[in-house]
Amino acid sequence: MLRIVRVFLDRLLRRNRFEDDLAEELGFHLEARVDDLVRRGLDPAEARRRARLEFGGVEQYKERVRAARPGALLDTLVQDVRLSVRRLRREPTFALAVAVTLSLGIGASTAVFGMVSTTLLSRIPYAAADRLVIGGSTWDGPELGFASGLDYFDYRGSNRSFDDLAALSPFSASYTVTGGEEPWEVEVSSVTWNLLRTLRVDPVVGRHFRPDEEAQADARVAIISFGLWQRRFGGTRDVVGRTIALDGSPHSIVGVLPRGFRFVGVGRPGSGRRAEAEIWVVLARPGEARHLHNYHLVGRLKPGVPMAQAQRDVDAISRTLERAYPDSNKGKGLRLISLQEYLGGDVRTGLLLPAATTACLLLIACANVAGLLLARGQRRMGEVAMRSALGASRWRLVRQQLTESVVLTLPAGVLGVGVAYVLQRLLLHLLPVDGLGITQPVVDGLVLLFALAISAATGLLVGVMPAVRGAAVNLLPHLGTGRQAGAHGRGARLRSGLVVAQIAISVVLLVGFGLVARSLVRLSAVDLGFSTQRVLTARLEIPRPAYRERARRQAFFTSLLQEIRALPGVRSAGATTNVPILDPGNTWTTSSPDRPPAPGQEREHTHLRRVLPGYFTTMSIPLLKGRDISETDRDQAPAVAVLSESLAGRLYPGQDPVGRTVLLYDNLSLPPKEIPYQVVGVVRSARLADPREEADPAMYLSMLQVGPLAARIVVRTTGDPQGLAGPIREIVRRHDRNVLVTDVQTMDTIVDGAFTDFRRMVRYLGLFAGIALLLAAVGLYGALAYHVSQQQHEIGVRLALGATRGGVLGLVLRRGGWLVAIGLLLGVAAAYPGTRLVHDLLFETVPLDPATYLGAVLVLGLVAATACLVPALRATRVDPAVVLRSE
Amino acid sequence: MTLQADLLPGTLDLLILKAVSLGPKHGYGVLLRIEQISGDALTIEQGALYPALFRLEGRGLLASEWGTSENNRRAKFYRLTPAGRRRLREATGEWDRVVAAMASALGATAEEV
Repeated sequence: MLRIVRVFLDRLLRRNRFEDDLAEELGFHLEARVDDLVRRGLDPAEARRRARLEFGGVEQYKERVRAARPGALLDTLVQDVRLSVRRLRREPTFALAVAVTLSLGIGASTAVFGMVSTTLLSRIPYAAADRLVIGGSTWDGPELGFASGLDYFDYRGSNRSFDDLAALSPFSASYTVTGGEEPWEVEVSSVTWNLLRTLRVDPVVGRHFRPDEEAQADARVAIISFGLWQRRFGGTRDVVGRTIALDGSPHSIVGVLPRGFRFVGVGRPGSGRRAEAEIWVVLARPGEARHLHNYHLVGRLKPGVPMAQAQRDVDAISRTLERAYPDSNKGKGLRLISLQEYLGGDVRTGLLLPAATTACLLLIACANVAGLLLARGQRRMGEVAMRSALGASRWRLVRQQLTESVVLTLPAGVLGVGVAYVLQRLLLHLLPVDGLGITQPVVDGLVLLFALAISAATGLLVGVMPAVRGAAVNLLPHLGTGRQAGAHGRGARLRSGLVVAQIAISVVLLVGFGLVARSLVRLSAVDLGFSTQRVLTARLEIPRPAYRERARRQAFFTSLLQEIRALPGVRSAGATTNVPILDPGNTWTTSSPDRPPAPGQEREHTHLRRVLPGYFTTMSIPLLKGRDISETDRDQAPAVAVLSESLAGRLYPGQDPVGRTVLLYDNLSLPPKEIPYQVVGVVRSARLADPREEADPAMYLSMLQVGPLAARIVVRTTGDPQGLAGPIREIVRRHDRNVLVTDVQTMDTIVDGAFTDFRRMVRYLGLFAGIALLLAAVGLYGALAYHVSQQQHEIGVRLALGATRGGVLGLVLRRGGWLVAIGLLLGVAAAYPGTRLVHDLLFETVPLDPATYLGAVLVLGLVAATACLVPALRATRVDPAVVLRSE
Repeated sequence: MTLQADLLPGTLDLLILKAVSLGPKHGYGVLLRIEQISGDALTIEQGALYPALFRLEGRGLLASEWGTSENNRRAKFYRLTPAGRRRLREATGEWDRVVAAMASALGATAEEV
C-alpha cells in the first residue's frame, strides 16, 4: 500500500521528466532514421516524410509507451487527477459551488449517521450486548408492562435459557441524604444483586452485591456512581465501608461503579423522572405482592440459546404461574425483547424524521451538483469531441469525467466532516436526544468511514450521468462550429427532471415543517384548564424520623403556608402532592356505589391529588359546584373529595354529584379494597399530564386527611414569582433546616419545558426545510440561467424577427413555470404519505391541513418565481445584433 | 522474405535482450542490430519497439542512461542488468527446446510414429 502511494506521488511529481525524456528519445529515433535514409540517398525533406510515415502517430505512440510502463493505470489516474485539478482551478466558482453544496449534504447525512449509529448500532455500553434481553409483563396485547417482583423470582428460579436474569426498578426514587451540613437529594434505584453481573459491569472500587444480601430483609448495602464518589466522597478508596443515610436509614457503601455507568433504557424521556440514579441498593426477597408490577427484567441469554427458545421457556413458566396464582396471574405473560430492539424502538421515532429529512437534503444537493455537471458537460462537448477524435477511447473519457467528479466530492467530504461536527452540536440542541445518551458530537472512525463512502458514492452518482451522456453523444455537430448546436433534448430533459425532483422534495419538507409549526402554535395557545402566570412552585421533602406522626407533618405544611401567605407580594398559596405537567403521578380507578362496574367492565380511571386549601385559587382552577377543600377536612372529619368536571360527568352522568359517594379502588392493599369519599365540590377539568392530551379526570382529596412526607407548594404572586424563591427558602430553613427544597420553578417554565422537545423538532424541520428551499431555488435558477444561455441564439433570432421583450420574458417564465408546477404537484402528492412521519407530533392539526399545503405552495412559488425572474430578465437583455453576428 | 519479429509471443523481448547483450544500444540502434543479426530476415514494427523497451526496463531486465550517440547527439542507452542476463539465458534455452521440439515434430515421417 505504502509503495503504491510512493509510486503515485513519484509519478505525480516527476511526470514531466518522464514526458520530456520520452519526447527526446522518440525525437532521437526519428532523427537517426532520417540520417539513415539520407545516407541511402534520399533528399532530407523526403527522408523526414518517410521517417514520420513509418513511425506513425507520435501521440498515439506515446500513449502505448505510457501504457506499457508498470503502474500505467495509476499513471492515467494521476493524469486524470491532474487534469481535473487544473480544470477546477480554472473554474473556482464552479468548484466552490459544488464543494459547498455537497459538503452541506454530506455533512448533514454524516451528522445524522453519527447519531443513529451511536444509538442504534450496538453501541450499548455493555459487553456482548446482543445477548441482553428485556422482559416485561403482558396482559392482552403486546404492550410491555412492568413485572412483579414475586413473578421475577419464579422466572429466575425456573428458566433454563439465561446465564443471569436480573430485575431493577424502572424509575429511581428520590431520597434525602442527611447527616452532613445540608440535606441533599439523590436518586436511588433498587436492583437485584445480580444486575451488574448480568450486564458484566464490575465495580472500580469495592465489590458486587452478594446473594446473601438479597436474602436478608434489611441488608442496607449500597453501590454508588463514579460521579457521586468524586463529588461527595472525594474519590478516595476508603469510601467502601462508609455509611450514607438515605431518608434516615444508614446504608453501608460496598462498591463504586465505573465512570459513566448508567442503565440505558431507564429514566427515558417521557418517563417522568429524568434524573439518573446515583445509588443502587439491593432488592430483597421475597419481594412485593404478586399483583404489584414495579420492575423491569434484564437477562443475559446463554450462548447458543436463540430468542425464540427463551421465549418458549418463559411462556411455559408463565402458564405454571397462571395455574398456581389465578387471582393475580390470569392472562399474564412475560414478553422478551432484545435490549437493542427495546432501545431502538425509542430511538427510531426520534431519529427517523431527521434521518429522512437529511436524506432528502443530500438528494437535493446531489441533484444540484449533477445539474451543474450536466451543464458543464454540455459546454465542454466541443472539447470532448476533440479528444475523442484524437484517439481517446470512450471508456477513457468516462473515467476522466468520473475522476473529476470524485476529485470534486472528496474535498467536499472533508469539508462535510467539519459541517457534520458543527451540525451535530446544533442537532444536540434541536433534537430530543437527551434520553439517548449522546452528550457530545460523535465523530469517530465509523463516522469518518461513512463520510468517505458517501462522498465517493455521491461523486460517482453525480458524475456517472453526465459522463455517460457525454461519451454517448454524437460528436460530429460539435466539431464543426464553436457555437453549440442548441440544447440537447435528453440533457435538458434530465436537468428539468432534477429540478422537478428538487422542488417536489422541498414541498414535502415545507409541508412537514408547516404542519408541525402550526401544531406548536395551537399548542402554545391551548387552554390548560389552569393559569400558569406568576405561579411559583417548589418541592418540599421532610425527613421521616422527626415527623413520624401525621399531625406533625400537617402542622408543618399548614404553618409554613400561613407564613408564605403573609409575605409581601404573595396573593395566595396552596400545596399539592402533584403539580400538573411536571409530576402527573399514577392513575387510579374509581366507581360510584350507585352503578358498580359490571363484571369485566373497567372502573373509571382518574388522577389523584391531595391538596391543601388554597390550591384551586392559586392555580385559578374555578370551582363549579359545591365547596373547596377546607381547613376543617381533617383526620376525624368525614373523608371528602373534589372531582373534576370530567370525572363527575362520567361517574354521575346528568346528575349533581355533590353530597354523593365515590369509591376509590386501592389495589396496593391486599386484598384490594374500595375506600369511600364524600363528594363536596366539582372543579373545572385541567390538563394534568400532557398538554397535548384532553383534560384529565381528577380526584382531589384533602391533604389534611393524609399528611404526606413530600409536597409541592404553589404560590401566586403579584410581581415576578422568581423574586420570592429566596424568601420562601428562608422561611423553610427557619422552620426546619433538614427539610429539602428542590424544583423551585415557575409554572410557566414547567409548561414551557413540556414543549421543549417539540419546539426543537420544529426548529430542526424549519432549518432543513429552509436549506432545502434554498438549494432548490439555486437548482432552478441554475437550470434556467443555463437554458437562457443556450437559447441566446434563438432568442436573438426571435427578437430580430420582431418578438417583444415581454414575449421573451414570458417564454422563459413559462418554461420555469412548467417545471415549478410539475414539481409542486408531485410534491403535494408525496407530502401526504410523507406526513406519516410527523403524525405523532401533530396537535389539533389534520395531516391534510389545507392552509399548510397552500402556505407551502405559496412560499415555494414565490421563491421559485424569484429564481425564474432573474434569468428571464437576462434573456430580455439579449442583443440580437451581437448574437447574430457571432454566427 | 522478412518476418515480423513479434510473430510469436515473447520473441520480440528475447530479440531485444539479445541485441542489448551485445553492448549498450539506444532504441534505434536496437532496431538496426536486430535486423543486422537476423541477416535482415526479421524486421521490427517501429510501433512495438519502445513499449517493449519500457516494459523490460520496468521489469528490471534492462537499465538505461543518457549518453552521446555516434553522431554526437543525446540519446538514451539501454544495457542488460544481471537479471536481464539471466532471463536471456533462460529464454534462449527455452527457445532452443521449442525449436528442437518443433523441428522434431515437423520432421517426423509416417514410419517413425
